[in-house]
Amino acid sequence: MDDYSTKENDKVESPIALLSHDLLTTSYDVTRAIFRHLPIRSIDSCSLVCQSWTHISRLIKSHRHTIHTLTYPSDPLSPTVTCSNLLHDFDQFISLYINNNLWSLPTFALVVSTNILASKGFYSSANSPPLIKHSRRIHSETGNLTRINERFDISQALIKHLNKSCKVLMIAADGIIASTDNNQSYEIESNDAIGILFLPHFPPDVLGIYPFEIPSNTQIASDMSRSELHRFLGSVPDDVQIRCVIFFFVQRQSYAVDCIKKLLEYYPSQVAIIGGFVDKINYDDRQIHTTKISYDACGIVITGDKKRLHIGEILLENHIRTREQIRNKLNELKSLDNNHCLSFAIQISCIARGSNYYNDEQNVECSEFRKLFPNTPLIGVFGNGELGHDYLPNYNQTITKQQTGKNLFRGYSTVFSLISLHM
Amino acid sequence: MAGHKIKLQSNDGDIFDVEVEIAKLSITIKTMLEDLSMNEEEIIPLPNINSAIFKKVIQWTTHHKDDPPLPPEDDENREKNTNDISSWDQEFLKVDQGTLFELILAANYLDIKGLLDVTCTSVANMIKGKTSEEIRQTFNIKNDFTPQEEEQIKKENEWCENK
Repeated sequence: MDDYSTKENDKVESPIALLSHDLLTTSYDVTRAIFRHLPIRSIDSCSLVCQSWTHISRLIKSHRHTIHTLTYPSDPLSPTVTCSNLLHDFDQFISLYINNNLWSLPTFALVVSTNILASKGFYSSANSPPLIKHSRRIHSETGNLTRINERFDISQALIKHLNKSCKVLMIAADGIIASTDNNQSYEIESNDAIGILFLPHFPPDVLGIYPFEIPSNTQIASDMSRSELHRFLGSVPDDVQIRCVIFFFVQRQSYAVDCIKKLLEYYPSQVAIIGGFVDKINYDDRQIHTTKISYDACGIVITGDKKRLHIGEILLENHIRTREQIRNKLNELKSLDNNHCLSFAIQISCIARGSNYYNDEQNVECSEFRKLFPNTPLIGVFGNGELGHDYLPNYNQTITKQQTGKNLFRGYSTVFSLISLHM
Repeated sequence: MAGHKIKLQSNDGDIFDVEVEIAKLSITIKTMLEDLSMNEEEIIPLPNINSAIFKKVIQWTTHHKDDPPLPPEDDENREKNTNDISSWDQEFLKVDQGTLFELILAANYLDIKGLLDVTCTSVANMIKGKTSEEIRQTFNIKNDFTPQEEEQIKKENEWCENK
């Protein structure tokens, strides 16, 4: 019987099947043309198909540089659809996205979540999360049929879908700013939502990303050297210039704040600083962790060659409260951007801004940004205080008063940072 | 107005009268006509394409002759994954794998970007969501790795294949 069936199989191998096989694995042009239409998750699978595909897959993985943003749920301000807390729904959303839309390999993900969603997390079964005070009753009432309703943190739920080298920095705040894959941006203040920014690997002169965490009670020595500071902020190599630092603080009275002074000491005029006070931070570098310690702050250092990486930052101070004023200010960033470069942007707003500031009109600031920069992924948070300054590449000469850590701290403001990459 | 026609010959000897405007959707033919300033009566041979496939190519180019030209795209940095195929093209591509691959070869040789895109998208859609083993089965590709090589690539790979 076995012999017979193998013979049958051999016969089935028609010349047409052989042609497909030959063409797919021997014609470099054809394989390239097909792979051009494949999302990166499929490219990863293709590398395990045969030798010639391994080579092309490697090439594609290192050559694609798409910056992605996405929002969960995909219509976060919808008055009818609420954000699902079911793990299954989130799983489905994120795996669909990764399997079909993710175009290049992310090496870093910045995740912002609203506080309520971050503390609720995701649940494995449809029952609403059991309330602690009722837990005994639930136990006796549902009896045998109770399925274990496991809770997952947002980063836990996300990470099991992500590629293994993607580091994840997760921030929770009262409100977030998130964009969808087709560059719709939302300021989400009262609904539950998650926003994600995926950054791929770039040549180091174009963009270097160094995430860092500052453990609680870290003391910043007054004689901290430049290279100690570099090590402290994500182990940036000594010979690499820090261009921009994005800070997220959870503790106001923290020594971590002192490192800004140090940063300004070594980079008096050529660094863009943006940041905010948020409620939760969590960084996962995807290595094995043994102990969990608490952190006061975390963030990202951005590096890159001045010719290849352009950074600008503008501050909307409390008196700026009309669309026209916002537009005028944002226009200053326009010189950094042209249609041929990749870019992304960070928005950090005071919790007091948002729709309250604009007669209940939603999305005012991010929509003004969107109009001027239609293709730039935007992500951010509403913080309990923010950190930033006006910083434009051509301003260097005109800074007269030295920045000190103190005058970077703001209230009732919004800070926009635009990072644009020239490949 | 009906444009004038040129004669194209497939590798199995059939001669096709094709409108110049349609034939010129093939950059290869367009270049031949312009650079070599070929005589209109001359028969242009297409040594890599048989009649059956060339008929399909003409069918496709005739339907798409008024499409706006595709923007030149950066090979690897295409911003969005647009793998939607129009319903006409879907119907057109209801062919066996062999024909589909011959169409890809023809589109590649004739340099018809739109046809190459849609045929490759169709193959890409057959690959999407499959494990490496499923892909090998779908296209009858031989696994030519040693177990060590396979292990090494699995290590390098960014996602685990869940069985």
